[in-house]
Amino acid sequence: MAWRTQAEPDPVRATDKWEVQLRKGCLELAILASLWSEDRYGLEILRWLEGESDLVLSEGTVYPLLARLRVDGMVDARWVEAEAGHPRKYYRLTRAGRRRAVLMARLWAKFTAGLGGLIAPLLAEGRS
Amino acid sequence: MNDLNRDPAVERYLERVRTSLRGMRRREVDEILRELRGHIAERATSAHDVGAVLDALGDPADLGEEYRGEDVLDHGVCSHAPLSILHGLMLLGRRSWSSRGALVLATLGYVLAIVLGAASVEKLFSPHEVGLWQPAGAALPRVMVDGAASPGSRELLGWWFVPVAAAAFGILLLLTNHFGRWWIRRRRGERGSWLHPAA
Repeated sequence: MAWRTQAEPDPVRATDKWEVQLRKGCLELAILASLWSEDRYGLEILRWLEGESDLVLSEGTVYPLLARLRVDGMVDARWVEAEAGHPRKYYRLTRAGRRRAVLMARLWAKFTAGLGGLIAPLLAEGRS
Repeated sequence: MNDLNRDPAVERYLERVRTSLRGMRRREVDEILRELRGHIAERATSAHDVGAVLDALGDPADLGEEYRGEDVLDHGVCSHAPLSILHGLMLLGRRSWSSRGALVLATLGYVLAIVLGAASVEKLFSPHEVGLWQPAGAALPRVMVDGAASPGSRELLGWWFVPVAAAAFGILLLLTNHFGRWWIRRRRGERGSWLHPAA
């Protein structure tokens, strides 16, 4: 029996959609990770992510997300007067936030490790 | 820095954010604007012009909506008020069909709860008009709220209808509240914005 093929979809477009979902899924983990070692304010979080990864938060999205994490009890916030002349709102992980960050990181590591074996042949194909 | 903050473009931007934050508490709005003002000021001093900084923050209405959406969902999760929960579900319903389905279910739950609650009260004043009747020949009993059933029908609960309908009202209200809050808690993380790849 012959294979029935439909019109070929655009793989780039489909991958873009998938990438959006993927990035969306790791947004919260990225923010929690940025606060793991020290307290930071919004712009500092953006810069840290730019420096430490190839991910850059859309600037207008970090603040509403921080507000939500604060309401959820994952972060605390305090205002600090800065030498620059305007106060900065610093965020700090709460105990619950630290626990959540660890759980999310473990899940992420487990997930990517499991997937790593599956996609190895795909990566080899891409290189050849 | 302060000169920058008096920049008309910045003021216009923040005013538009403020407008789209209507309905939120004044203190929260002031805190949001203070944080954004600080961000704009600091960003603009490090190699960016104000226009580029504002562009990077995105449309002020969208930004305000993002904050307000979080606020609405917070209220939906924390509140026991049906209107707050429905508001949260409506917001999620803009993004997915499944949340629209949850909104319809919750609305039906609340409507049915209201009907049962109202019927339990109305029974006290119109005992022969409101109640649960078994119509002659029908398999299932019916709640009648606009007059007794046809001749030959039999009332099933009598005055017991009042506590039973009141209890059903309470249970349905609680269950619908629980469902709505659970749905919002479960789905709220799926909305919002996302990371962009570095240029």
